[in-house]
Amino acid sequence: MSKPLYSLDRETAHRLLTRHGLARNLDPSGSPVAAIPEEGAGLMPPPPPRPLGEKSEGEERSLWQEKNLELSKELEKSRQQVAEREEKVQVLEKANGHLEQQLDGLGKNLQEAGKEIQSLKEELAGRRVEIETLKRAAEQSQKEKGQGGKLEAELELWKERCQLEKKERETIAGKLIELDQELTATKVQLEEAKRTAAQAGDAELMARLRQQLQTGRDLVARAGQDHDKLLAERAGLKKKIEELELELFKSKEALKQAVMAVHQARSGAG
Amino acid sequence: MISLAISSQKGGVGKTTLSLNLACSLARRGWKVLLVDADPQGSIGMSLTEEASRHPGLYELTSQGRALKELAFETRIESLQILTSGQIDPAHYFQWYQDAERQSTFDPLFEQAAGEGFSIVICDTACGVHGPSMGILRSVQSVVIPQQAEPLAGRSLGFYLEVLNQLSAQGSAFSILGVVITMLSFDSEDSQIMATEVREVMPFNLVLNTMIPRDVLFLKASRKGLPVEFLYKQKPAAAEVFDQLAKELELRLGLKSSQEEEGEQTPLLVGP
Ligand SMILES: Nc1ncnc2c1ncn2[C@@H]1O[C@H](COP(=O)(O)OP(=O)(O)OP(=O)(O)O)[C@@H](O)[C@H]1O
Ligand SMILES: [Mg+2]
Repeated sequence: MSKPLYSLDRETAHRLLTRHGLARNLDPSGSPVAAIPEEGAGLMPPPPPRPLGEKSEGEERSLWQEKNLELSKELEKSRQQVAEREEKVQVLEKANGHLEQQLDGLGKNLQEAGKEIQSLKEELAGRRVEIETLKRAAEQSQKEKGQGGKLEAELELWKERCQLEKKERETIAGKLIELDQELTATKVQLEEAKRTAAQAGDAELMARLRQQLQTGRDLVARAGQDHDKLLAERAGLKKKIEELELELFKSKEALKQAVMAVHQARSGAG
Repeated sequence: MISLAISSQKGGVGKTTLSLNLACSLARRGWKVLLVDADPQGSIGMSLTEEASRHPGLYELTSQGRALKELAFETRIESLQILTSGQIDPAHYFQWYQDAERQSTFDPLFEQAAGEGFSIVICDTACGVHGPSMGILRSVQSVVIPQQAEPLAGRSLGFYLEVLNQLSAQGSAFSILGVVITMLSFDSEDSQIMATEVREVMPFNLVLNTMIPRDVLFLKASRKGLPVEFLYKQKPAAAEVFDQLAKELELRLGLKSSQEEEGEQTPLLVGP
């Protein structure tokens, strides 16, 4: 349908009419409270009896009278329907807004968890370099068999770092469980909204709600995908950490041997 | 006393037709009505008689202090009087037009109308908000806006509400009594879409239920300078639309017509 009223919409009209009191007695829904006509006022009166002998003109006039009456009734009916529908839609929109907010929060949480995982990855990469350095240092010291004290200190540092890493991993696992729970709760709420809509039983309303639900579902699906991705990432990281731990273990063994060698060399010398 | 302006941003939407026929219906329903032609073009006076179009009226009342009592025309309807626009002096036209934007210019009109015992004053205005149309809007209590049910007519409604809003912001006391859909054509879908749009956009019930249909009868009536009710021996249906509108407006204004009062209700038959 074209827009005969151009830029004028309901909200603008209402704002203009209420700001400086152009229309009095408007209630919140926009109806002049004191001005609701009674008992069919405003509808056309029944057509007058046709004058005897006269035909076509009278007939024509009573025809548009009838049409006017029908149109008035129809308009009144559809105005009421629109008001009712708007009320229903508002309630459901409110519920939907709430869900969407939750989904937003969920998305943000997922993003944050992703960021944390990223920084963890970076840190792990850094550690790998450190391990390499240490490994090389151990090899070096094995060769030189000279400076045992320094190596001992480095070994202590390593122990501390491993502890820290373990704690961080536990935190991330906890967060993922939390996200999982939130997703489940949201899904339940969406199901409920769907059931409410089904009860409303209005075809047009259902279509609109179905669309809203679809948006909600898409959001959940996206959140679910993010969740799955994070789980996969987490598994990958776990594997990498295990590998690193193995390397660490090996390097620790090498260190231990190096330190032992240093001690032996010392006691041998003493 | 109730003062009412019939006003619109767009021209030719049926203000004069509405003013004249509504005034007749209200008078028939028992109210003492003064119809004021506040359009300097003098559409009401012009559409009635030769004599009326040469008679002094609103211009003389507001600029020369002439009395309403000696200026207002009596009509075939006992309780309806008409004040024509008068003979505007071209030499003083611009000055008067400027003065007419002020409320004070029309104070004598409404004071005298109240003094003469009129219960309703209806002012037909020229389109737009300037000159006497502006002064009248600043003086009246209520405004009725005819909205033509034709696609092009929709353009003006938003702008018009903005302008009225400005006038209200400046302290004018009037409020919109209702929007009347005019020239509704039953054969045109566009016309009906337009009417529906107006109802959808405006707050619930601000648009009056009664709609004025497009009918050749109105052209015929205005050619003869008559309200439609005087066209035929029997009152045509088109005139009843205005009775219906009058009834609806009475409800909104909180008026109770004598037509609504109970009669004696004695038996119809009085003898063999
Ligand atoms: N409902 C109607 N059906 C058909 N013709 C109509 C109808 N109402 C008015 N007309 C005709 O349309 C023309 C304009 O109407 P009218 O003079 O009442 O409008 P107006 O708003 O007063 O115009 P203006 O802005 O020039 O004062 C006139 O010729 C009139 O006879
Ligand atoms: Mg006019």
